[in-house]
Amino acid sequence: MAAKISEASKIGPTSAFFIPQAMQVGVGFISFQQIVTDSPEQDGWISVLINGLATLFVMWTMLSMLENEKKYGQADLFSLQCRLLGKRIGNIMNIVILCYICFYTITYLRGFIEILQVEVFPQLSTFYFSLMFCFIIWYVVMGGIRNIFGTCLLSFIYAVPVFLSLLFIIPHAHFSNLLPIMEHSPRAILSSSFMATHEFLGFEYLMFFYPFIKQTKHAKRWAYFGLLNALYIHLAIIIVTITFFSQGALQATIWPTMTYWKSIHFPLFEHIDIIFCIIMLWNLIPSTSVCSWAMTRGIKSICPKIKMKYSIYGILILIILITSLIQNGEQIKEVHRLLVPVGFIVVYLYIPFLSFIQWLKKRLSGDHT
Amino acid sequence: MFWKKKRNQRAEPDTPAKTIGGLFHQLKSNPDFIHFNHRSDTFTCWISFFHTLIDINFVHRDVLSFLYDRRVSSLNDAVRVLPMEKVIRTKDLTEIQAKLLDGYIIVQEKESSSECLLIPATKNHGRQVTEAETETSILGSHESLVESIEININLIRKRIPIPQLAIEEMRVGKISNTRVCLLSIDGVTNKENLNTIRQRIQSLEVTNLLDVAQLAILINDNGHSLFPQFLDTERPDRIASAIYEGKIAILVDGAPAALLLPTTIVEFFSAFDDYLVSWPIASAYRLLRLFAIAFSVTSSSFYVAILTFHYQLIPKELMSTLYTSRNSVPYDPIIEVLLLEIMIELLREAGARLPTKVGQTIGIVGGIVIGTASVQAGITSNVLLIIVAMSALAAFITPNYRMATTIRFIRFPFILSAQVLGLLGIALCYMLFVCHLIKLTSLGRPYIEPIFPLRVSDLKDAYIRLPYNNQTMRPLFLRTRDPGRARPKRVQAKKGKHKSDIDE
Repeated sequence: MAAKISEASKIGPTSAFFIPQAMQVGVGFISFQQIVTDSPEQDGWISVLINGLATLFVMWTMLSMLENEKKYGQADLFSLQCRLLGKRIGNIMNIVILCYICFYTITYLRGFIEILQVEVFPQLSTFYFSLMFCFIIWYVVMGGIRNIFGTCLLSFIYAVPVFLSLLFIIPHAHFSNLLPIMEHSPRAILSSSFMATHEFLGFEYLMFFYPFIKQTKHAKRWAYFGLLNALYIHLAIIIVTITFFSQGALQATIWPTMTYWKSIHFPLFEHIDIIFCIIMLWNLIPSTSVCSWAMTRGIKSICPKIKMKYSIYGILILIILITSLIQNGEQIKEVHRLLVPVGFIVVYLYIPFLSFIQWLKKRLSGDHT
Repeated sequence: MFWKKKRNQRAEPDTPAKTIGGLFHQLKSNPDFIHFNHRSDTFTCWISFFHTLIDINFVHRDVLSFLYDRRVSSLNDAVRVLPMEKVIRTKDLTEIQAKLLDGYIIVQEKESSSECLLIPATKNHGRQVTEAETETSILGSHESLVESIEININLIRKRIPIPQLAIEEMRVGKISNTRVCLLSIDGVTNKENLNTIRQRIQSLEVTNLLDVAQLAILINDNGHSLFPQFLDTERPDRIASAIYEGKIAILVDGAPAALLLPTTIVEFFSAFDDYLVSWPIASAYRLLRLFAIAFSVTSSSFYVAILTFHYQLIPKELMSTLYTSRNSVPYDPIIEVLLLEIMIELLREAGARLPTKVGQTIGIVGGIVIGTASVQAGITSNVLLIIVAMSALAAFITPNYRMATTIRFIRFPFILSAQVLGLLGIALCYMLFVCHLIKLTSLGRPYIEPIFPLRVSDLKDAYIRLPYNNQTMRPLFLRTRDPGRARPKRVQAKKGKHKSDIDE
């Protein structure tokens, strides 16, 4: 049984909006257009829409599961697994989830370092950069969930000008590119919507900090609103991309978002893409620190003797080492491709499965309330 | 440990006197201590005081003349005759000692008798109330606090003439026993805040306390932070408006400033003049100030980063200007920037330490002669000189001096990190500072409050200032016991008189 959470370290209901938002709208939106429009071409936005709506369903199962769990103990994923699957299998699943979080963090961190190396600093050393970056992460995580929430909120505010940059593209957009609609087979659209999972991953982290939210009743609305906002941002980006690029050019571009930032000019700044790229660095802090924080919580729930303030060192060292092991763009692409099925299994299969088990257990124990 | 014990003993002041005779014996060697025997036909007494602490005219006119009266034959008679509202009669030696050093006169019947009359005759000698020096204002009141705590309280009470204004006095400092006053309004100020600050001041372990800034450093939440966590001001109007808002003010005897707490970071960038002009102008000037701060912190580091690593950011037309100006400079941008920045810092420090007249000369010599000469000698470029001078100017736009020094200091880590990693380094440095600010608290309340935690109603008076009738609530940040500043209904009613058409 985990220690009771003090009122001082709890966070307001808006955290259910900002934290998943910071996790979802991240580095991925610089590159996801090419993957999504691979087979369905101009219908790629439909795949994004389908996946985005599916996240709403997962959020509903997640929230109802956590709300039910409140009666039995602490409502986070780690203790929930232990209760539903038994202590032994539960702890094994906890370790699996920890590996997933670690994988997720490293993918994002290394993906962003790659962008920096290509667009801003060719000689940037992965190891030294991640070392410096993890120092900041350490400083944030030591301040607890309140601090992490603060970085999430600020990253949302800082990202606003980046999204407003879409307005500069509209004069150059050819909306006829979107036509004909629904030309491709449902199979092509669904398979690309499977690939779009990568973009919407991150909202499942609500399951780790749910017990820290003060008024969970209000938080529900914020959580759905956050998902809708993430869906809206991704939809806007994909539509702008499809209308800005021709299909041939889009397939040849690795980072379409970077390419259209390059077309923006200001009298004082020539390359706005570098500036935006560095602003987007802010997004990396909340996502990495939420992940490291969730990992320290997980380690504590598996082995309550290890304090969070000590395990954070181990986790950050692990992240730095694995991040610097991934060397070139090909490997990064591989890792990104691997994250899609793993994330799909965790979010769309495992969470509904857990919810089903919870329902079954409730039925079998004859608790009809 | 035995050596520690010894050291602790040494830190104690000389052994205090046990009896009143001992006290007089201890004080006798002081040239300003007066202790004499008065004899008249009816009454004999011993009178003692420090003539440097008392108003000697007052004593001659209003104390001694009554004591020498024929009707006086005992201490009781003296109390009856003396024309003072408060004459203390006590045997308590610590009180006698404290009052003697506050400027009271001691009257005894016999030299060794412990029963004394304490007659107040304090001389209030200090600076006159003058114009505010560090926080000058064009529109508002021109008074500023002085070193005497009585005058300061008088200045504040004049502005808050209500019985609910609560003044709580404490003594801080093992030896100095400095008077510290907490000012707040009963029924408005948050009790929790008051308890926290009271507890922090009472648990202080210092030998002496001389200034309010020293107190601020001793009681703040994070002692290692570069950012001041409590606002210090010397303007009584600003103090009064903060107390009305629900804050606590702290006054220290001998310091011409007060602390206002809890504080958020944006308050360091707002001047009291903002409340005296119409809201669009006030908002515009606040935004100007914020822009100036951002410019001041980052401009020279941007120069280093862009010229060292990211010259593709500069448009072609600007590039040629920069090229001609940097053509003859033999150093890297970082050396150039550090040279100029340190020179400006030297000028600032010299200007602050030297007497005013010399200081002005130094400013002219430094600013004009050295600046032009260094450009002509080819050590620095023209463009950089403009940037550095402008950023120095921008740093001093901050109305609060302590914040201005912080702003001037934090540009150096930015410059160094710009040299290491270019724009990325600036971003990392900025992230570290912002994460620190998120963590920081002032009296346990979040330091960057209207942004995190996001409170929209407090944003009305932070980066911009909306009109007064939009601000019917006290700041949520202060968690006041009476959250309403004005009755919203009445404000609404006043606003809501819609006309059905033009000209009706």
